[in-house]
Amino acid sequence: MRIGVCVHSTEIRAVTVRDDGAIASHVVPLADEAGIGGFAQALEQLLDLERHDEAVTSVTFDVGAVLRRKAAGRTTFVRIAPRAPVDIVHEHPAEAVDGEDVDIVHIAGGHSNSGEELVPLDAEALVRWCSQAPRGSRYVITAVGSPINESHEVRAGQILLDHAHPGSVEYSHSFHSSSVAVRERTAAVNSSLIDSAEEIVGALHPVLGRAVPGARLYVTTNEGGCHPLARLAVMPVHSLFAEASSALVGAAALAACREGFVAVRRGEGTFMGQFVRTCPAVFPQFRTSSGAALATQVANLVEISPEGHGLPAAAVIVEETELGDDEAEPDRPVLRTALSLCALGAVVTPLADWAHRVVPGTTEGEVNASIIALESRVRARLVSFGAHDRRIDLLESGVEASSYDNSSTVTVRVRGVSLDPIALDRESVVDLVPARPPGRTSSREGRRSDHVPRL
Amino acid sequence: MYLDSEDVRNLSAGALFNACAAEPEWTEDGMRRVLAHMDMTGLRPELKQVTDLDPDALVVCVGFVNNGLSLSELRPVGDEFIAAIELIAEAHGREVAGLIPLAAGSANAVVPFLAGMQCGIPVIDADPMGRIFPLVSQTVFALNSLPIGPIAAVSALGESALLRVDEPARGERLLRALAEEFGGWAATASYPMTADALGSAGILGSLSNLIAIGRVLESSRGTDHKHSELRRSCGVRQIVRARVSEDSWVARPWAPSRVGIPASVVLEEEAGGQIIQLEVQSEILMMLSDGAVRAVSPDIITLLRPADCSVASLDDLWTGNVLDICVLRAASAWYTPAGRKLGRRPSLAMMEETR
Repeated sequence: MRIGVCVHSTEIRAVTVRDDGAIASHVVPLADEAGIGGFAQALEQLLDLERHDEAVTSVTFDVGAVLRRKAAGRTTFVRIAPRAPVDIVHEHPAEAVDGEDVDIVHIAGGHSNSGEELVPLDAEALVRWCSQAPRGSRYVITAVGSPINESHEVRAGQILLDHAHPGSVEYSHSFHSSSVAVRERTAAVNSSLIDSAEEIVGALHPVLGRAVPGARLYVTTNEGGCHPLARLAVMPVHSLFAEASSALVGAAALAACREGFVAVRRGEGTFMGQFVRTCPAVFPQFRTSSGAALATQVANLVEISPEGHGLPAAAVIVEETELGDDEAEPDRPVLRTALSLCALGAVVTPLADWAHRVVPGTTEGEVNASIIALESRVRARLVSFGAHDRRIDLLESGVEASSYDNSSTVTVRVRGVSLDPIALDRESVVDLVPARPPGRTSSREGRRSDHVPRL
Repeated sequence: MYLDSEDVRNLSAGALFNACAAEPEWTEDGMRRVLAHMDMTGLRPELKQVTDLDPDALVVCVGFVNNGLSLSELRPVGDEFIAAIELIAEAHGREVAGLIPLAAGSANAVVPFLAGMQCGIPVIDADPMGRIFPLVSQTVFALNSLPIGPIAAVSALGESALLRVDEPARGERLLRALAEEFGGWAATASYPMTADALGSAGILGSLSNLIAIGRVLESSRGTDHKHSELRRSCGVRQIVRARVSEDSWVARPWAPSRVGIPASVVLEEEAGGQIIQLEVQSEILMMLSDGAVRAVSPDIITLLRPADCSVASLDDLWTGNVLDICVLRAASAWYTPAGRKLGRRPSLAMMEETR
C-alpha cells in the first residue's frame, strides 16, 4: 500500500492506494493553532484509520502549504565579487524575511567562466569582519563564478563557521543559475525555510517510525516529482510550490494520461500542464508574483482564463470537488472526483532528480564525458532514493542551447525519474460528466484561478 | 526632452521587445538602476535629437561587450562607463557631448541613460544598429567606413584599456579578447564621431521608437488592441500565435568549432496547426512555417505573452507555453547588399548549407 498526504493549514488529506488498485480517501482536521505537533497527531489518527492488512511501502507528503519562512533575527549576505558597488543604485536588493535585520558584506574574490580566480579571496577582510559579527546570524554566501568554481564560497563558509558563530550558512552554488542575484535569492529563501522544514521532518519521523516502520518516506517537489523526506530539511525550497504540480500529476493519473494536456479545475479556477513521457513539462525557474526568479525546477503550469482561452481542445479536464461545492454542469466533458488530487499525485508521482551544471568544455569529448558523469550521478542518487535501476528514465540529458558568449563552457541538464507503476481502480473514484447543452450558463463561469503557486 | 519614470519603463519594454534574448532581467535591472539614480539624485535622463548638438560636438557609443561571465553574474559596480567616457575625452582632448547606445535593444539600449546622468551628458536619439547584432563591427558606421576607435574599455575589476584601432572588424576581435580577460565583459565607449557624422550615418530616432513601442506594450489596453497598434504604428508585419511543443529545444550535435550552431524550437500554430520552427542563437534568427522561411535575420523576430502582451524572452520557450511571435523589419540599411553581407550570421549560413 502507498499513501499520499497533502498537508493544509486546517486539515490533512490523504489518499491510500492498495496493491490491488483500490483507492481510499481520508480527511483529518487539524486543531486550531496546533502547529506541527497537531499535524503529527493528525497523521497518527489517519494511520490508525487505515489500520491495514497490507504493508505500507511508501508515504509521500506534500507540505508546501505549511512550510513557513522564519526570520532569524539577522541575515547576513556575504557577496564575493572583484569589487563592491560604488553606490546603492548598483547594489541588488537582499531577499530577507519581513522584520529581519539585514547586513550586506562585500568581500573581494570571484572566479571567471573558466574557473580561474578573477581576484584572490580576501579572507583577512572576512576574518576581520567576523570579529564584530553578531552571533547566531543566518548567512547566505554568493560568489561570482561559483557555478563553475565554488571554492571561494566554501572557504568563506569555513571562515564564518570558525570565527562568526553563525546560526546557519547557506551556499548559493547549491542552486543553478547564471545570475548571482537569482542564486542568492534562492539560497536566502531556502535558508529561511529550513527551521520550518526541520520541524516538520522532526515531527513526522517518530510517528511514521512507529506506525509504518518499513515505509520509505518522500516529499513532493516543485516539478511534479518527489525525493526523500530527509532532503526536505536541506532543500525545502524545492518543495515550496509542489502542491499544484502534485495535483496535476494526480489528475493525469486519474485520466490515465501519459502524453498531452491535462487541466485541473477546482472551485476557484483552472490551470493546465503538459505531460511528456508520463511527467509534466517543467520550467527551470519559478517566478514569484513580483517577477523575481528562484532557481528551482517547477512544472510549467499555465493558468486558464475563466473563458477557457488557451485550453487546447485535446486537453483532459479533471475537476476536484469538495463537499458543498456547487457541482455545476461543465462547458466541456470533465472527469469529476472528490479525491484530493494533490494527495493522489503524491502517491503516484515519480522519484526525480536533476543535474544542471555549467561545465568546462572545449571539445566534444570533454562535453560528452561531463554528460555521462552527470547521468551517472543522477542514476546513483535515484537508486539511493529507493529506485530500481531498470526503472530509471532519463527524460532530458544534453547541452542547453549555446550562445555567442561562453564558448569555453556549456550548461548540461540531466533530468532523471523513476516511475513505480501502480494500477488504480479509477472507476470507483471518478465520474465522467458530460458537457452541458449549448446556451445554458454555469454558475462557475467568470471565476479566476488562484491555484497556480505564488510567493 | 527629459524622460520621466514612465518613459524609462517604456524604453525598457521597447528594448526587450526589439531584441528577444535570454536573461531579460538584466535589461530590467538596468531600468531599475536608472529609476533609482533618478530617485537618489533628482536628475532625469535627457534625450536630444542629433540636430540639437553643435555639428562638431563629440558623440560616442556606450555599451557592454561580452565574452564569458554574463552581466547577471559579474555585475557592474557603477563606475565603469564614467571611466570609459573620461578615457575617450582624454584621448580626444575634449569633452564628450552626447551618448548613444551600442544597440537599440536589450540591456545596451538602457546603458547611456544611466551613464548620461552620471556624467551630465545627454543621450542622442540614435544608434548604430536599429536592433541588436552580436558583433560590435555590425554597425551602420562600419557600413559608412567610420572608424571604431579609439575605444575605451573598462572592466568590473576596475582595469581599463584604450585601444587605438580604426577597422571595426579588428576592433571587435580586440574587444572580445579583452572582455574575456576582463572576466566576462567590457564597458566600452566606441565609435567616437562628430554629431554631424552621426546625423549622416546613424539610425536616427531609434530610441524614441523604443519608447513608443513600450508605450503600446505597457498600456492598459487588451492584447488585440495592442496587436493592432503594433501593426499600425510600430512596424510589426506578422504575429503568429503558437504553443511550444514537446519537441522543443532540439539541440544540434555539439562539435568542436560548432558551438555557435542555433538550436531549434518547435511550436504548433494555434490557428492552423502549422509547425513553426524557430532557430535560436542568443536571439531568434529565423522562423519557418511547415518548412518554409517566414522571417529571417536581419528581420527582428520577437515574442509576446498572449495574456497581457508583455514581452517574453527566450527563457519562455518551454514546452506548453503559448506565445505570440512577432516579426518586424529592421532598418533599411540591413537589406542592402552591403548591409546583408555585414549583418550575415555565420551560424545561419552554416545551417542553410546543412538544410
